[in-house]
Amino acid sequence: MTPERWERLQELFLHAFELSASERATFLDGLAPEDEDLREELVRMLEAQVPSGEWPLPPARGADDPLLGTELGDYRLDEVLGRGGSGVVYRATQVSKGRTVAVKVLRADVARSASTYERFKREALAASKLHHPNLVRVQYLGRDAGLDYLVMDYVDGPNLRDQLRSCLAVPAEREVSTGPDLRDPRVCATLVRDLARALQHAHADRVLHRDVKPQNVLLDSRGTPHLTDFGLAKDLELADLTTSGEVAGTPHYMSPEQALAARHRINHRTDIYSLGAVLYELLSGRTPAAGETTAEVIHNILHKPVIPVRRRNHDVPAALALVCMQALRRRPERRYQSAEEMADDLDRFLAGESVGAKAQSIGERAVERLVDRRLLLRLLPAAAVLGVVVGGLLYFGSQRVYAHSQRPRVSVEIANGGDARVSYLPLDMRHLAAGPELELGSTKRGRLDDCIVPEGAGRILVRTEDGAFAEHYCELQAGDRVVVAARPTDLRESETEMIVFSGGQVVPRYEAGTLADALPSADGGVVQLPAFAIDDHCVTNGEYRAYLEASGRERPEYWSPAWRAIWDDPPRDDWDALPVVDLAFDDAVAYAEFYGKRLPTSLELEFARGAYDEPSWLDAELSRTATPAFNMFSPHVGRFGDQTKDTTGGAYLLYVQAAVQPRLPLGARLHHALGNVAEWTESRAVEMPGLDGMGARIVKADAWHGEYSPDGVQNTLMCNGMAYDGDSPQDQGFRCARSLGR
Amino acid sequence: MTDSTGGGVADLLRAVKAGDLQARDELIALIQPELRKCADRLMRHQPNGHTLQPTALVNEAYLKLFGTDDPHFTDRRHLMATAATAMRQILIDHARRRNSNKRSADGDRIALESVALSYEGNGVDVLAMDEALSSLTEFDPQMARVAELRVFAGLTFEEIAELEDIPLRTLQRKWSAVRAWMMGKMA
Repeated sequence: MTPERWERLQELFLHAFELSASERATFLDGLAPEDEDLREELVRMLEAQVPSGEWPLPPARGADDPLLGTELGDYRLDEVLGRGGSGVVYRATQVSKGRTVAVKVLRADVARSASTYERFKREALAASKLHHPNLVRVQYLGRDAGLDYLVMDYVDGPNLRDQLRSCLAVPAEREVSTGPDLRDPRVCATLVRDLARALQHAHADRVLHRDVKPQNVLLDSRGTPHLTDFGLAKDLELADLTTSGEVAGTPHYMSPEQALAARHRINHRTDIYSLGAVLYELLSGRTPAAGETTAEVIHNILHKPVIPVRRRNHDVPAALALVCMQALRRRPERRYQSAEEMADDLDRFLAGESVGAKAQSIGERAVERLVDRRLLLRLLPAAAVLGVVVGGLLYFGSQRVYAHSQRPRVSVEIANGGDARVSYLPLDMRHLAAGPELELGSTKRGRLDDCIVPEGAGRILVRTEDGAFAEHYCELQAGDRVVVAARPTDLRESETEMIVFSGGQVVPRYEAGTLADALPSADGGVVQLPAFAIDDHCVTNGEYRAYLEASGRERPEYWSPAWRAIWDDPPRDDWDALPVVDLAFDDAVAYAEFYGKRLPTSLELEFARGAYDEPSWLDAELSRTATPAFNMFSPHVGRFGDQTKDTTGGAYLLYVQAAVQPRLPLGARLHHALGNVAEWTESRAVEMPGLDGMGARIVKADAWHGEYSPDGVQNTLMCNGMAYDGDSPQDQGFRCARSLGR
Repeated sequence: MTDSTGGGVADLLRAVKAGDLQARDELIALIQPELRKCADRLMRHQPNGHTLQPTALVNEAYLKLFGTDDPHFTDRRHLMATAATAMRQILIDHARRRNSNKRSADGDRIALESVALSYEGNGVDVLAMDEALSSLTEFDPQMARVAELRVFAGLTFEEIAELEDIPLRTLQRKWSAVRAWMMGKMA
């Protein structure tokens, strides 16, 4: 048989298989002449009595679990309670004390990776410190007979999913015989409120759950919910997604940012989304994102607005529906900002008071798809520090609508003296020139006031007579009036630390990785990437310290006391050579602009990364094993240290195909362009198809703790992530760039 | 497998992925003794008359062999596919020996017999299935691989869909056709 005939045979079979016996006979009689050669095989297939079940695979038996009845340490495994992505959970007896516990045996292929195991252990330890009546307590982490296991409190009731199913199966007029009646919205609200308080407790200790779903909520005999599997899902989501079926993990409760597999850049608001999804299901019997396959669900999470819960079930009280939908906002910053807020709002609902949650206005929905208004806010903190005066008024929200329909205005002040020519370069979504440069004029006595610029993204370019240059990225809307404090610098002052690339024709490629079905691929065509210069290393702690002194600026207020303590008394001698991390986008931009630079665009960073054309060097770099130097989220590679760790960065990938392979100038090295820390770019995630309205920035490279993939070189070069402007990940730094060819 | 040989497996795997057929044979040769040992070990812990799941064997062997490595997910595909082939060959050898009434020299005779019996309990003649799979390979190598992963390594359809990058529903439809075809062939 040829592959083509086999394709046809399958088609005919699948069609005929659905038919009744008499219809089949007609179908076979009506076979086209060119299909006659398949008749015999087709009949044989249709007549084959394929047994139901898994034939030809031998039938599985439930009792086959080889561990049942055996002992791990002090614990005898009595019964399989469930199987999940990361292991099997047993009801077990602690032999010495005769008490019942739950034991989760970590799947061996999960446990055997040293780095995964370390993370698992760290998370388990963190979870074991959490004590809350609505959290399943982790008692003990053990290892016996080569197996890693976790001992937890045993909760004897069903999980929330099973309880919901049994409640929905009871006719409306009958009472639910055991457990909470989840058909009552108030019961659901109470339960989710308790869970929100439990999450708050964990979040306060900086422990994320990351896998909040009904199956992970256990109900005890009094109907009290207990959240389990705390933090254990961390970094295992992708494995769950790819290797397990329905039992192991479903993507239905994933937040959009999780669905993007930006796994290092998820914060507590992800758990809030998931808890909102649980409430949604309790109230409507459906998950907010529909879909049969993982890919479909993920696509829907990313692209389809959640159908209001009251449209699913009219009986849901309006106030409760508001709370639910507030938790499910696509953008994290529009959700409840803490689990506590959500719990409080649920309390208000239960007390009959009005809730804080608001319906999303039509305008708001529209804006979610447009440029983020908060961007203007980004200019404020930077401005305050750098002596940028915010001239006039910044209008936000509805005020803007009636107060202004004017085009944005920009004023420029030269912060380090002298005069300069000022122009504006409009940018497209890839941060490439979208039109000719507009001359705005020249400063007089260091000032140029009220220049009208187009709306949208652009760069304000400042050039002095003697060749110094500064550029400021901005995204402006009608009515905006901003003043930019430019500090033009001469590239020659810093060029020893910057590498110059002449740019050229490139083809940005957008590719879907393991989530191929979820995200459409697009080919951006050929674009001209202008010349640019880029730092040869990420900004270091020492450089950041120097910047703080030079600018008179304080450390970011969001730095934790622990992080400050580390800065005051670094645990390593090479601290100042390590890349600075824990900086929000604004602060990275402020640093760059202070030195007359900017952040690189994703195309630029990707292009520069392409200059690595020495596989042997890459191999050597990739094969090293990284060990964190100390426990406090430590980037472990110094400024010019050789050790690096690279990784795939998630499902959505971008690389740049250059017409001419970029080359590093002789003797130059682009340090840690592939790993060590993730790096901010100026580019918005809108550049990646399907990510519009997400309001995030593209983040390149991956961090020291990422998984090394032997498949890696290619994946590594493509790795991508994203972060929101306000995020300040502990594994993310930045390097600066600047435009050339002026 | 100990740490010292873990690198060997990784190297072989890299070669297998690069399409090196000899490396694939070597990897199979490496897996097979482990499969036999696992069968033997598992059998000793089973009550009499028990039949062994091939799946359990492959999983055991997989963990034993790669227990010290951290295979990236894409490697799992190659590892599981190789392990499934290794399992298939072992069973075929066993069935052939049994048919020719030769005594196996290994101590794994009973254990392997138990695996063979687990298929027979489901009305499957291992040799006939092997033949059917061999001819399927000629015109639909992907589904033949799927069948191997399903039947000899016991992977779930979700896992196979991810490994082979086929949408789950497409896979299930194709699988129903392949099953009917195999059944027709083996009848």
